[in-house]
Amino acid sequence: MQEEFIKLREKWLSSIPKITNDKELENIFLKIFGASGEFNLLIKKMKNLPSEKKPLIGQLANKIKSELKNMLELQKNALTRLKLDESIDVTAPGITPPIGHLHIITQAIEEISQIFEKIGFSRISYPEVEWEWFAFESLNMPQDHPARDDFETFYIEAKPSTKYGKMVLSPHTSSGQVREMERVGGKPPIRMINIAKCYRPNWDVSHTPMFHQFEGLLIDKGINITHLKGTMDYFAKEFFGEKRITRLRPFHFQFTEPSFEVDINCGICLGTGKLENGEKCRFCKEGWLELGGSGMVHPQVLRAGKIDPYEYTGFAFGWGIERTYMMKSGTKLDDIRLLYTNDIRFLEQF
Amino acid sequence: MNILIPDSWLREYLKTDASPEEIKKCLSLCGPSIERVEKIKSDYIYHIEITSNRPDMASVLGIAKEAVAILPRFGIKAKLILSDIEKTSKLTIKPEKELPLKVEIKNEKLCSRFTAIILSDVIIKTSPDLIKDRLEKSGIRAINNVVDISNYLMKLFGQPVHTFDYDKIKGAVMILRESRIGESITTLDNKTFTLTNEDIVIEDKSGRLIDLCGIMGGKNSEVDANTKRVLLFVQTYDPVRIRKTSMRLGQRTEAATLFEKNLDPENVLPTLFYGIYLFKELAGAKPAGKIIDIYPYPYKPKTISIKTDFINERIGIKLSTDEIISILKSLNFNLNFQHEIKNTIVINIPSNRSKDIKIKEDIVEEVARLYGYHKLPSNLPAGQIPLAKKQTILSLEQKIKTTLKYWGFTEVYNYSFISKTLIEKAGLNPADHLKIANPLTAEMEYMRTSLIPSILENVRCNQYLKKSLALFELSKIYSRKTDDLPKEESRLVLTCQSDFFSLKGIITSLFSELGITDVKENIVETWQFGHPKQSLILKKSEEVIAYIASLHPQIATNFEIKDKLFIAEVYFETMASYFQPIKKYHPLPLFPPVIEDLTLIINNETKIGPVIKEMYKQFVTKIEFLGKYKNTITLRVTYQNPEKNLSSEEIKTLREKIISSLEAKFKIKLKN
Repeated sequence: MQEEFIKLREKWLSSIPKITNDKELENIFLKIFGASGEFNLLIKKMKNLPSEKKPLIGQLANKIKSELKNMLELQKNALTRLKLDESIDVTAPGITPPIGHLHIITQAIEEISQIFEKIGFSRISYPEVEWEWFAFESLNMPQDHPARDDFETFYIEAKPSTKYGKMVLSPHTSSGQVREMERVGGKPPIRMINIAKCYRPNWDVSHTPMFHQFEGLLIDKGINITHLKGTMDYFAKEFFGEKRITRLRPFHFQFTEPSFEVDINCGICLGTGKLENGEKCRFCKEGWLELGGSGMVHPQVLRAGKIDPYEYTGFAFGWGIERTYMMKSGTKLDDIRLLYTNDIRFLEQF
Repeated sequence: MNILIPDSWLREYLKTDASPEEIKKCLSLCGPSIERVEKIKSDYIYHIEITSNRPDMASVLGIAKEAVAILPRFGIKAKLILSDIEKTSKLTIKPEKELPLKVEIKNEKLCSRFTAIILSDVIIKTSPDLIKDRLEKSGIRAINNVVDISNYLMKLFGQPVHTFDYDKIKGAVMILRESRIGESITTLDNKTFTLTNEDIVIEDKSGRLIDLCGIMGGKNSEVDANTKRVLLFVQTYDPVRIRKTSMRLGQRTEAATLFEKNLDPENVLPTLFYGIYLFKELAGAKPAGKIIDIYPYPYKPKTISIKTDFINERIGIKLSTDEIISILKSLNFNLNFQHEIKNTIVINIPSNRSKDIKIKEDIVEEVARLYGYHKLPSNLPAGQIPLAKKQTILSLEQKIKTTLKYWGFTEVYNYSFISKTLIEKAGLNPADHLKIANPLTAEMEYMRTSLIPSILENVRCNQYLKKSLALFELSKIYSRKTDDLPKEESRLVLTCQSDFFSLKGIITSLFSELGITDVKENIVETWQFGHPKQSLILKKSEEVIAYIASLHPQIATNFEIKDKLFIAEVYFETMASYFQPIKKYHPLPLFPPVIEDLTLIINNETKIGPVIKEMYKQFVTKIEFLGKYKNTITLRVTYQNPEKNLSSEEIKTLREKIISSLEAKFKIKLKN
């Protein structure tokens, strides 16, 4: 019995220092001390010994056990120290995950809809191919309105509707206004944000025949000009930054009364028109930039949507995504048509 | 429209201490936008944007009138000086002799007011420096006194004026009528135009056209160096016809851009009178006939009654009745305030504002802008936030686009338009497409019924710029319907150049990301964009949800796509309708799974998809495809019983069950 223990000790005492990895070390531990490990087998055998021999062998067994355990522990520490010598060239480049690019229009749409969502505007979309009635008549733009000329609006070759007139490519997101009023069955409140493709027959460095607008429409009881102002200011601060403010200037649109042009103070000179070094700011028109149009919903438009203009009032705005985003990012595209030519070298910049 | 007005000229009618900068700032906030003040020597020039509803402001006098209303709101004194205008309008015309002119207006709708006067003894010469200077600063080249007077009147009154050489009007007869199809006229700028039946023209007794009304006069009746007698001619025309003619002929003259905004007929006579005065002063001319004035429907003042509460509610602040009244008076409105009828103001609208001010809201605008939008507080609307039914498609769009971006795809945005050529290249039929009646170019004649042709074009254009393009577009397609608006439907199209299975993996991962399960796949030979032997159709509950394929070789040739290309088309709205935003909870397994790899010997024709499907039996929770080598495939099988540990005996039984069903169905054997 004694010899067997000694043999066990010697066998492992010489082989433990040769172990080179954690996994092997763990296996060896189990081989010796596991439930059916060599050491345990010997312990089990001890019950056959005469009782007077047991204390001596027992003492030996305990000594060998702690000796081997200690040995294993030492080897474990040695292995840990060895790991410190392993090196990799951390300066070699990383392996990148595949990353594509979202079009800047998508990025702008996301940002804008989130801002308006926070103040209760829900995104809704309405037809891009629309009837004249929704695109014009219902918006207080009668038959002879210049915007309805065929050099201002695309028409579709299709049989006109007896009720709604010709089929057009919607030249603005405002065509969704009366559709939204119809959707709520003439019962406000309405807080809509409609972001969609619009179409007009213009094609030059600053116009594409297809472009994007975002249209806000809010209708409720007691809505007045100060609410429109508040909403514009909120958007300007959220989208362009805390230091930005808006101002309204008189303007004219058929479907709002009063109508406003919304300006934002310039992000470079903060509305002063002058740079810190005293030079004239070249980014803006004397401190201000035009953001887009807005106004209080024209009572005629409310009536078209079966909403009583004496009970409810509202405001609306419809701005170009391309323009608004360019103003924010300062991305000075010398030719806006680049947005839709899909050159990969352009797309990968965003 | 944008106009230029010199400060020096404005100040002849506007007495104020306001500096040009102050005028710019105040007017921009409350009235017309002055975009720029340009300094030229000792003078300044205002660059002013006039909105289409306010042609009454498109002149020196118009701006002076606005300034007089606006400047005092900023505490700056301002007064209108109209003495010379008023003086000329009181002139009595005493012609020494009366030359004949017979005027006939065929359709009174064409011309709301027609005035003219014959002036004789005209001496053509250059204008005085003051006139030339003012015109040039207003952006108009001075020519001679006669031409300059016309332009000067237009700038001062905002009313275009024409002059004819009286002696060139054959028979002293003017017939104002609609043009006839095919008629032509050569205008002052030597351009010849063929007309339709919508234009307004004047013919003389000989039947020659001598004026393309509202656009430009005829060459044949123009004033020249030898002209002695002039017909001074001031009209207002049907604005819609003027615009149509001007746009159709591309003659965007300043006169046309004014006439098309529906000018005030009451402004015609003051302009004519001032013209007579200028002709006398600058050309020594004398009237040689009475003023001809044909004005069938003179302006009758309109009134609007409005309560002060209405104004205050719409603006959002409380203005005193006195303040409202003083604002309205400053705009030259005649008022009648009726205390007895609950603070109602009855407002008489002057003719120059009658086309712009029709309803109560128009009055609100006048009060609010004069009070100053910049002085109003900013308030976020209180009130209830409507519970809107979210459009799933919109909320999913962003999620999916972002996912694809991080899987290496780059988004493209194509026009919704497509050319006939492209439609045919893609093997589609132009007749199935919505056609634009007035396309800009042939490239943009139809509306897309598929996103694939455009994205193939994107691949073609970019194929030499980047290796392994991975593109996607998520956009609408337009499918025509009989007698109704087209069906607008969102589609998602992806292309990649790596291999079919990467693309298939993208699509299946997309579905699992959206919680869409039980999608059935089938080989399809008839998808027009796909290779007949390399195309897959995916369906959910019998609805097509996607196609995945290698691009059809013929289409690849048509589009000149050099390398292999894989495409997928996802029926976005169908996919969105099966979106499961709420993930179900399954209790965590208490017992460990058993995982083993099986290598199977299969026949080359056997499709792997159905084999995997066949292997799902009870307690088989996952089958992963590890690879194919010669005639063997290796699959990793996960067995799990949620209720207990599976013994090796039970695994053996399960395995045998799998193998025997594979053997029966596909003649597949387990290797070893």
